[in-house]
Parts: sequence; structure tokens; C-alpha cells
Amino acid sequence: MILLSIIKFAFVSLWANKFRSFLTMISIIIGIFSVIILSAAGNGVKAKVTEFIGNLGPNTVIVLPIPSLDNGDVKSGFSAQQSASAVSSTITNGDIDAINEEIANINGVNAIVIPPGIVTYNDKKYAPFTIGGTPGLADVLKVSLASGRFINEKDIDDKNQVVLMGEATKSAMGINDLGTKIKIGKEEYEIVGFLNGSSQQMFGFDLNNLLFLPYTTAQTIASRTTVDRLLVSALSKDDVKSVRESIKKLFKDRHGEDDVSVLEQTDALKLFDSILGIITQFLLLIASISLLVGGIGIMNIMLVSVTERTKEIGIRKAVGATNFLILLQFLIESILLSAVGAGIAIALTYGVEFAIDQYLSDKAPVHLIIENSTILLAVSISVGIGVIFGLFPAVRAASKNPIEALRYE
Amino acid sequence: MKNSSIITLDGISKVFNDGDVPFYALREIHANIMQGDFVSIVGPSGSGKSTLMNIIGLLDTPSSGEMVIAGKQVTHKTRINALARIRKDTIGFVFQTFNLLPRISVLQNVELPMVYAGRSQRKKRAVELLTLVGLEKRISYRPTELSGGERQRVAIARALANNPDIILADEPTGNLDSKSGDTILSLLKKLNKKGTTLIIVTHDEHIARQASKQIKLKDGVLQ
Repeated sequence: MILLSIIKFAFVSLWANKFRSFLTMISIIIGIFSVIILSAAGNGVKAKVTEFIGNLGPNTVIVLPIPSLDNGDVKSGFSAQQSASAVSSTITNGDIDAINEEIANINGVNAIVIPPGIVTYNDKKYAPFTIGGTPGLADVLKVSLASGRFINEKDIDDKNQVVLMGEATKSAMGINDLGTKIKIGKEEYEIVGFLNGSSQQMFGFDLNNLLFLPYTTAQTIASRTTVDRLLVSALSKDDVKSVRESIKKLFKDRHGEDDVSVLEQTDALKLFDSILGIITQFLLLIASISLLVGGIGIMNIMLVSVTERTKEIGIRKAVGATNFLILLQFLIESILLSAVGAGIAIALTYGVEFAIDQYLSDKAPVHLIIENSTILLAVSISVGIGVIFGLFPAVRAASKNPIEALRYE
Repeated sequence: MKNSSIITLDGISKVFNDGDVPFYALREIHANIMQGDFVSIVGPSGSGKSTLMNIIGLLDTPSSGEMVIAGKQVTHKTRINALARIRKDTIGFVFQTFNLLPRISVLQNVELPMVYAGRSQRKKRAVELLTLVGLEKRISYRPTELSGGERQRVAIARALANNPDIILADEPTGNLDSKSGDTILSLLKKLNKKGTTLIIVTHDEHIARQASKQIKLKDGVLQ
């Protein structure tokens, strides 16, 4: 009963300084908003990646030009990837031929080469999602032809300068006819096919934005002879384990060391999970700086408030408030500041989630997935901030000498 | 209960050690105040009357000596929270500068001591008390919307909230014109007639003379 009245006192005090209270909340709002949005976006990305890797099918074995991601220690693999990202791939066209010839029980090998892809058309520059691949990649990416033809083995062998365009790329460049020529670098490339619209995404890239060409041609553009990814399809799910082991052995024999990782679908999921986790944690760390600043802001304003309200503290003590009840009142004020800030931030995140779902729907690169546990975490953090940064001012208020406080003008 | 002792001061001293030499604000004060008394504490400024009021009002502890207030013993060892607990049931303050909280209504100001005492039916009692002091039409006003005399009447209503044994008034008419001052004084005397012990700290001879008993202080010593 007393507690209820004291919460009311705290509200009255904060309301009397509405503007100041709101300013104090801003850092908390930004901090909590960032924490929730980052977690929700992380969940969204995870859902997308899971969907994509799932779409590769359980029969797919992935070869990455990064050592030790497949030894079970994903974290050290990630740091290996960081150092490897500066190093170019060691997977060659010879490796592809070797897999095709030597590995049993496979449907085929798909190669991916990602070249630098600034495209010029009519003197304007564009940056579509350019990807070099094999004919079989159309099935993996689940894209289909609207008109023209797909690339074929001959294009691969001859390094033909031919490209296919996604729907969005086509309309962005304002191209209507097959046979139109675009420029990548100084060379001209002929459009041989247009793709249908796709709801698929690849690592967050919209496949409507695709510019697809033979991987050998992409190697020429990038002036290298290496491949960035291999996707090997096993005949059946039962063959995945043995195919994986054989490929691992093949690379060890050909390269003389373990300079690639050979992953199954589940490994890839685990890997992305872990990479995403590290990135999310890093971003959350940055967001928490805002919370720290917010907490210090609360402490600052509460210290000012305690000094300003010295007389009030004296009066309350004279009419019977114990030190504890004064402490409680000021502590509740700082908790309210922080918790109301968190409430506003939570409302904002739900607003953003709603806006994305409502107005962007399928076009959004990532949808927010706000989990109840994140909300609970945000509320606990805000209450924690209120307590931690409000305690010192509250203790100061409670320990004021009533006689001096009453005399304070 | 009438004619039993409500305040007994037994050798109360208060020493401040701020400077090089200890300063005695009060020296060995002995006094006995009976239930229902009207006592004035008088003396020039610096005589120690504020210090004595703070000690009797349980806002401060004596440096030495012993005091019994409404049956509760207080010494220099008594803890601050214990003082607060005795204070809220025993003593109602009326200050020279009214000391109302400006952001809440008159009614809420009167309810405040009852909140801290954990009492129920606060609103009903607060309205009764404001009616008693003639302010039943002002209950939803802010203190800043009232005249000085009205504010002091709110303060008296607040002082009565927890049915205190003692009303301790520190220069209650000091900030008022003489007409309002007379109203306040007669209101306090009316409460005293009903049995509440009234202690007024004042330098106004006119008020001091109306008391049944005077405590005169000079340089911290009882005259």
C-alpha cells in the first residue's frame, strides 16, 4: 500500500519535469531499440540463411576455400576465415575436373565465381549481384528462364561473353531485347537470356538482381583461375558422408594440405549460426555503449534532482518518511525513467516490424523476428540500469540530514 | 491521561564540534512537559531554541542526556530510523515557512503523513481535517494558490493527520500578517484545549505570554 503511493510520488515528480525526463530517456530508448532490432534482424538473417541452405538440399556438399571450418571447431574456423579472406581461393578448374572424374555417386559439380561486377550500359554504371556459375546452378538457385537460353557447357569451355539477367536488373537498366550488349570493364557481353522473377534470396541478395554468366568468363573478368565455391550434389542422402570424405581426401592429395573445408548442410547451418552469433554479439556490444551513456545520464539527472529537491526530502522526513522510503522513492524514479524508455523502444521496434511486414513485405531483405525472450531481456536490462545508476543518487537523498534539508532554500 | 508527563528532558546537551572549540548549543537542559500543556520556548536568536525544538521534534539527537517522549526513551544512541518511527506517530510539525509540497494538492499534502504511517481511509480523514481548519472548499487547490494564512492552516491539518500527542510549531505566525496570525494562534489554542500538547517556539512576547508554561533560553542555558 505504501509502495503504491511511493510509485505515484515518483510518477508525479517525473511528470512535473516531463521534458527533462524525456531527454534523459532518449539514450535508453536508442540503446534498447538497437538491442531489440539487432537481435530481431539477426534472427531474420538466420531464418533466411537457414532457408537458403535448406534449399540447397540435404544432398549437397559445399567446398569452401577456407581451411579448418569442418573440423568441428567453428569458432577457430571463423578466425581462420578472417585471415583467409585476404588470401585468394586455391580451388582450381582442375579440381572440378578431378571431382567429376574421380568421385563416385555424384550428380555433378557446380562452381561459383564472384567477379567484381560494375556493369556499364548507355554510359551509366550499375552494380547487380554478379555471379559466375555452371549450367546446373540454375536448379540450385531455383531460377527459371523467361526468354532466351541458359548458359551451356560450350559457353563454359569457350569462356563466351554471354550473360543472363534477373528481372530487377533488366528493368533497372531499361533493357528489353535479347542480344543487347552491356559492358563489364572494357569488354562487351551479349545478353542471351532473361530470368523470371524470383522470391529466392542468396545470403540476403535478391536473385531478381542477378547478372549470371559462365564461371570461366567470370574468372577472366577477375583475372584469376580459381573458384570461390563448389556445390557437389551426391546421388542420395546416404552418399553424402562418403562423398564428403572422398572430396576431402582428393583435395589433400591434389593440394598437399588441408586448405579447403568440405561441409554438409548441417555443418553449413552451424557455421553460419556461429558467424552470425559473433557478429550479433559485436553489434550488441556497440549498442550497449548507448545504454551505458543512458545510465550515466539517468544518474546525472537524478543527482541534480536530489539537490533541487532537498527541501522536499526534508519535509517528507519531517512528516514521517524513513530513510528507506526516501531511498525507495528516488530509486523508483530512476527505474521508471529507464523502464518507460524501454517501453517506448519496444513499441518502436514493433512499429518497425509492422512497417516492414506491411509495406515492404517480400521486398524486404530481412524480416524482423522479435522473440519474447529478447523483450524480457530488454526489460530486465532497463530495470537493471535504473537500479545501478539510480542507487547512488537515491542513497544520497536518503542520507540527507532532515534539519539541514528543511533549512535548504 | 491528562496531567501525566509527555516530555521529560533530563540533562539534555548538544555540542557541535565544527570549529576548534566545541560549541555548546544546549547545556544540561532539564524540563518536564505535561500532557495538554501549552508551552512556549523563547529566547533571542542563537539561544538554542531551534536546536531544542529539533531535539524535541526528533529531527536530531542530543549529544548527551536523556529524553522520554510519549513513553519512548531517546538518547544520543537512538537510531535515525527509530526517531522517524516515533516522530510520525507522536509529533506534528508546523513551520514558519509552511513547508508544503508545491506539486501536489492540499488534500494530498494532508494525506502525506498518513501515507508514511501506512494508514488507510486517508482521504476521508484528510477531508475531515481540512474541514476542521475551514478549508473544505480548497482541497483540490495547489498550496501556491492559497494565501499564507490558508497555507498555514493546511500545515496544521497535516500536523494533525496521525493524531499526534504533540504539536510543535516553529514561529507559526512569523510569516503572516497579524490578522492571519491571530487566526492561526486561536486555531492552535483550540486544538490545545481539546488535549493536544502544544509547543510553540517564538520570539513574540505576545504569543509567549499566552502559554501556560515558558521555557526561556539564553546561550543554550535554561533561564
